[in-house]
Order: sequence, then structure tokens, then C-alpha cells
Amino acid sequence: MKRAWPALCCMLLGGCVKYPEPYRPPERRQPLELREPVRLGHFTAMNSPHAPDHLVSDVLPELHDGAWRWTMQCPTFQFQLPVTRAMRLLADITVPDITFNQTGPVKITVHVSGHPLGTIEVLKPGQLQWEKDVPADWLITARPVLVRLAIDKMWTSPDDGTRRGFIITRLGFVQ
Amino acid sequence: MPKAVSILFGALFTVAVAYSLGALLLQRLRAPFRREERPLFAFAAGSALLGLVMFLLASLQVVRDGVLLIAGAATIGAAWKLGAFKPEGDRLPALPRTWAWLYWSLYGIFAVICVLHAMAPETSPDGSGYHLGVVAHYYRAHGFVKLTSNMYANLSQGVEMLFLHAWAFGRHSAAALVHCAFLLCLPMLLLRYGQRTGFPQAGAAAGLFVLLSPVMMKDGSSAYIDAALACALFALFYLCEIDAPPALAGVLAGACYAMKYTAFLALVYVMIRYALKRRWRALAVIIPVALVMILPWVARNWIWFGNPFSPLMNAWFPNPYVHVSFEQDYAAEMRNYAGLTSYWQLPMELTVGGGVLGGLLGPLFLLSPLALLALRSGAGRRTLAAGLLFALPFGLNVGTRFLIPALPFVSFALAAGLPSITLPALVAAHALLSFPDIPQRYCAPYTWRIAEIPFRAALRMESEESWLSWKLPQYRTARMIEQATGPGAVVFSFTPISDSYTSREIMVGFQSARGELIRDFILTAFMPDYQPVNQLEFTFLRQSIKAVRVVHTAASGPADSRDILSIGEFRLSSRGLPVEPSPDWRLEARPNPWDVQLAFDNNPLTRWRSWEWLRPGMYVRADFGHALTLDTVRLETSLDQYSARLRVDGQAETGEWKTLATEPVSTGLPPPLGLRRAAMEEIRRRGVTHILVHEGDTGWEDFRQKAGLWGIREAGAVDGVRLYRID
Repeated sequence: MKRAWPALCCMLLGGCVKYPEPYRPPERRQPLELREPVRLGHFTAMNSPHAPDHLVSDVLPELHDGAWRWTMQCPTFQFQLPVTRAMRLLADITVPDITFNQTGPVKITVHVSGHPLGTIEVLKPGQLQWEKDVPADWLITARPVLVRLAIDKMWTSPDDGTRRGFIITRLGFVQ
Repeated sequence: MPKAVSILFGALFTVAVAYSLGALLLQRLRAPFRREERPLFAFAAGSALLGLVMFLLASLQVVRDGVLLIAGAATIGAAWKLGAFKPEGDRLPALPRTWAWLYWSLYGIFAVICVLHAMAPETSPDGSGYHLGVVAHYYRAHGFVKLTSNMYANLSQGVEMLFLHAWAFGRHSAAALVHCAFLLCLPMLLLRYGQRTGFPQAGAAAGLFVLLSPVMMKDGSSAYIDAALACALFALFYLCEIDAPPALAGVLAGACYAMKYTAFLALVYVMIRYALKRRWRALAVIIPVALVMILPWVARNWIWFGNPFSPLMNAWFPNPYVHVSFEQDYAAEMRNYAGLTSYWQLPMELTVGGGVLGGLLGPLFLLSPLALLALRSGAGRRTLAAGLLFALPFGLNVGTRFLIPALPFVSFALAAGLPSITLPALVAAHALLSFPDIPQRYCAPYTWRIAEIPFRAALRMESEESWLSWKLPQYRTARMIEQATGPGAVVFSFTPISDSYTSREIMVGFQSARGELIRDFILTAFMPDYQPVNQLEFTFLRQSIKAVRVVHTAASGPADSRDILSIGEFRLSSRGLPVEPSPDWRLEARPNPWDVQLAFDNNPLTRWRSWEWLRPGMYVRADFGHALTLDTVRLETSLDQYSARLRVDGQAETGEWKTLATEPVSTGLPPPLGLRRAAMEEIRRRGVTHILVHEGDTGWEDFRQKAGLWGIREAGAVDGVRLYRID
């Protein structure tokens, strides 16, 4: 009993812990932007059910590992923007070992609405996330905005001549 | 010069009131002290009592200058009238003349240095920050005020109560001078102990070893608490050694806890000492008396924060004020200082370096292992045993000043163990190597120490404003806040500032659950990993269930994962149609039930978080009040929880729980837009009016470049620090 009393004290004290009663659901906020699943949005992940609506050309339809797609040389995407101010383009891409070992370092030029935004320089294989501010006057809300990524060197399979550009996981506009 | 007078008055009046209370207590207890010991124990015990009195006054919200003045004067008057100041007791054996000369001249010189440093405007980080920041809040409120934005206010504050008394009359420097009184009392306690136990030279040397230690001088002459604690601990040890009245030991043992939580070891120590001697009747006095000193702090925290030991032990006493994860992270950080790559660095860093661990003990303490020579005597063994016990908290925080409580014991053991012929040379060398600013020749740059003797600043011959503006950049920040905001402003800051120099409430991100939540809202607004960009969809056979819960199962990642579980939105559906929450539902989560609504508010900015490192069994649950037909649970989550593994359980109408789904389909969601303004609206709703951003804080450039998106406007700026008003 003498040895148990410190633990007993803590248990007694702990037994006096008051958890709150379960809560009612709160007032539901109206978010600043529409959160219902729209077909064409400002951003897409390749594993989103609405991703195909954002693909214009040069993106292969098959989804790998439930997360990414292969591109060809000049994949083009479209996005519908609710606003144009203070937007950044974010691209989550991968240049895997298998293609890098053949092509070496690659450059991917990025165009938004036909304007050159910048170049992604891939100096080593792997995943990278690239972001850049987009001038507001390049963007419009009235119709979809086109984003084109063009890789300078493609990989060619030595077995069957299949060609691939790079891997895309996520792409779109963020603030 | 008048400011210097008020500083001295504030400090001396506080010391005098403490001394008077102690003298009355000693008189009542008929404590058999020697003549030289009595004043020291009167001060030590009286400080404990004054702390308790101030606690009562603060609880009653009557801390006003007039009340303190009248009560203090009455106490001093009563002590004088009752003859409590009359010198009593036999004299201790005299110190050898050479030693008397050496001791008192060095003591005098360094005492003056410390007093001048204490009198100079307060620039210490913790002193000018939370120690006196909380005191200033209490003073303005005339007593305790429940501060939910600063977990330091939840600590036991026995020394801060003395600071509060001094603050009323002399503000920052008066408080620092009160702490300095403990610094100056401790070497005299060591001297008297040496004289009492037949080791006069060792006592004198030990006293100087302690006083002249650079970290001791700096800490003891700032508004910290470590020197006060060391003094109280040694006084307690002294009482045990001379078999003083048990009630006195109880007062000091309890006071040690009241000064600092980790000093509960003082009560453990005294209980062990008396239990070994089977002094049960003495223990029957000591324990209740100690509890009188301890329980007020325990009760306050229990009533206010639901945790008697707040801000610690939050896993044992869950509450909405301090997160468990904060305590987990804090404990891990305090054992690992930046620059400390191996514990083998400790001996040199603690004694000579000082840059990594925040101060140095002095090169003399490289000889600390020789303190083991004191094991040859019973007194030496007891001294070392006490020192070892009081050094245990150093394992929790390896900063140099956390060894201060053990310093008097190591010093005495070292001085008693070495041949006495060596002591004068060691003292002289220690004095030379510690005199400001000789240490700059061997310690790391910017080491925390007294680097100059601030004569003009101490006497206010130089403007306090200009001194502080020069010495303390955070002072300029605090003054900028004071000028740019109105009364009642609540300023969120990512980084602590010297908030004792502003009357506004400063909510630092990491210092409270409230602050951490606000910080999370802000970071989520612009950090993609924190945003709800991942949807986990659990589908199961359509069925009637009356409750559903999402449970984290054993982590597939490392067992020591520090991920925190979070859910942005918890959505239910049946045949593709959403099932909206109704007022009949009841929501619950473990841990952190207080934030469960954030997972059901349809707000992409907010999320429920466990605020505790991942462990199996964490859950969020919704009870519907009646059976609903469901086939899908969708969770919108962030990416910053790689080790989280979830399953969905449902409760049948029979009450039985069963697993409905374990393997969700993961899809990406677009990062929400407009989060910056949403974050500012959310924190405005929670009472924050301004944000303070230092250059180098996460996202500082984002605030500057996208103020319009945030909905904030610059209200002030100084030294790369910007204050923004939330529109």
C-alpha cells in the first residue's frame, strides 16, 4: 500500500479530469471559393476523378500507382480560374532514373497562355516541386487558361522504341 | 536619479518585509540559530512567507501600491515592536583573519558589480520576457489574471510573487535586485555553514566559488529565479544538517516547489532525510507545512487550467490550454541545444565555453571531479548526495543555469575535499578569471555573462530608454507595439519578445494551445503541406449505423513518429449524396476533444488535430442520435502526417462497433484559394488584432508581398520586424 500510494494519487487526480461533453456540429462556413467538385478547376492532381478534364494533349491517360501519369514531349493542360490576382503555377513532376540515365539533365519550359513563364532545370533524377508567380494580365477567368510544359529531350525505350517525356503528379494554380 | 531611488526602495522594502516576516517566524519557533545565521534564515524563510502572502493578495485582486505599503510597513513595525530584530544566539567560530580579509573584500567587490548589474535596466531574455511580463500583467490587473496565451503563467511563481511586490515600487530593476538579494545571501549561508560545521575556510571558499561563477553572477543579478532556488535549497540542506525546527524545513521545502516545479525534489530530500532518522513526528509537521506552500499553486492551476501541474503533465491531465505535443517537443528540444553534437562537449561548454549552453560556470569548475574527495567525511557525503539530487533536473534541460541549484553543494564539497592551503589561490584565480570581462578572452563570443559594469545605467545617469534601445532590440519592438496599437490589442507573434515592456497581450505561437491553433491557421494559409489537398475515401456496404468513428491504427512508419494526426473535413454520404451534419449529432475526439468541431465546419482552413504524437487509438467520432444509412466516409486531410493509418468503424443499432473499411482510396484535391484572408478572419474572430512578423519567421516575405491578399495593413516597423493590423 505504501508503494502504491503515489500511483493512487495520480489515478485519483487523473480521475478528476473533466473531458467536455460531446459537441454539436458547428455552424457550417461558406468557404471563399467553391468547394463543390467542379469538372474544370484551378488545379488538379492526376489521381483526381476530374483530372482528365484538365488534359488537353500529350498526356497519357493511364494512371500509375494511383497517383501519376506519363507525358509526351509537350503536355498541355487547361484550367478554369475564379480569380487572376496573385496566382502561382505549381508543378509536381518527376524525372525518374530510367529516363534520366539516358537523357541526362533536361529542361522543361513552361508557358502560360502562350507566355513563357520559366524553365524547370532538372539536374538530377527524382521528384521536384516547381512554383512561379504568374502575372495577372496573362490570366483570364472568362475561359480556360492553357498551360504547356515542353521537355527538351525525350526518353526512347531501347526495347520497343516507346517514347516518354516526364512524370506529372500535380499541376495548377495556387495563391 | 529619482528612478534609482525608487528601484532601491522597491527592492529594499521587499527584502525588509520578507526579513521581518522571517524574523517573526523564527522568534515564534524559537529557532536555535547562531547570531550570524539568524538574519540569513529570516530572509530565506520570510521570502517564502511573503510569496504566500502575495499569492493571497493576488487571489483577492488587492495588489495595489497602498495595500503593499501599509501591509509591509505594518509587518516591519510589528517585527520591530516584538523584538524580532534583536540579535540572538551565540556567535559562530571566527573566520581566520586572512580569510576574513579575502572573503569580505572579494565578496564586497563582486557584490557591488552584481548590484549595479541588477539595477541596470533589465535586458535578460527570460527576465524581460515572461518572468516580468506576467508580473506586469498581474500588477495591472491588481492580482492574478487567467492568461491562456502564455503557458509560463501556469508555472509556480513563488519568486515572481516577490517580483510583483518589488515591481509595484521599482519595476524591472527592483525585481532583479530582489533576486540579487538571494544571490548575495547564498555565499553567506555557505560561509556560516562552514563555520558551523568546522570547515570555515571551506565555507568561505565555497561561498566565493558560487558568487564569482559567471553564470551565477549574471543569472542572480537578472530577473530570473535560479539563484533564489539555489539559496532556498542550500538553506533547506543547512536546516536539515543542524536539526532546525521541522516547521521551518517544511516552509522552505514547500517554497522550493513554489519557486520551480522541478524543486519538488526538495520535499523528497527532506522526507528521505527525516525518514532515515525515523523522525516521524517531525515529518508529520514538515509535510503539512510544505503542502501549505505548495497547494495554492496546485489548486490555482487545477481550477483554472484543469491541470494541477500545468503546463506540464498534459498527457495525464488533458486540457485545452497546453497541447501534449508542445510538451513532447519541448522536452526533446531542452535536451538538445543547437551546437551540442555530443554530451562529451558538456564539461568544456559548461565551464569554459558557455556559448552553446547559455553561460559558463567558470574554469574553476573543471576541478569539480575533485569534489569526490569530500566523500571521505560524512558531511561531505551528505553534501554531495544533496547536490546530486538537486542536479537531476539538468537531465531534462542541459542549459548551464540548470546546474545552479547543485552549485553550492559541489562548491562546498570541492572546497572541503581539497587541501585548505590551495583554497586562497583557487579563489584568487577564480576571481581573476571571472571579473568582467576577463571571460571574453576564453569563452565563446556572446556568451551570457556580465560583460561590463553598468554604473551610469544603474544609477539612471544615462536614460533608461536609450540604454534599452541600444542593448535590447526587443525593447524597440515592444515600444513600437505599444505606440502602434491601442489598449486591449492582442498581438500574435511567432517569436517571443520582451513583453514586460508593453502593456499589450502578446500571444506567442508556441506558448499556448490557443497560440498554436492561431499559428496553424496562419501557416495553413500558405504552406501546401498543411492544406486539405488529399482526400481519403472509405467505402463500405450501405448499412444503417448510429455512429461512425475514424481511428488511427498502429503506425506503419517509425515507432517514434512525431506526426500529428489531423482531419480537415469529415464528410459522410450515401449513394453519392452528402449527408449533412444535423443538430442531433454529437461529436467527440480523443485526444483533443475541444477542437473536434473544426473537422465539421466546412472550412478548408481549419482542421482538428490530435496535438499529440501519433499513437494507436486516436479517433474522431460522430454520433447521429438515431440510425443513418451510409456507405461512404470521406476525409479531407493534409499531407503532413505520413505515418497516419486510418480505419472507419461503425456502430450498429445494437450498440456493437465493427470495422467498416480499412483501405481508403486516396485522391488529390486542389489547394483551396483565398486561405490567407480566411486565416485573418478566423484569428480576428478569436480575438487577435495584430500580427508581428520578424524577418526570418516562416512566411515573412509572404506577409510583406501579399498584404492585400491577407487583408492586413502595416501598422509599424522597426529593425526588420513588422506589425500588421488585421483589417
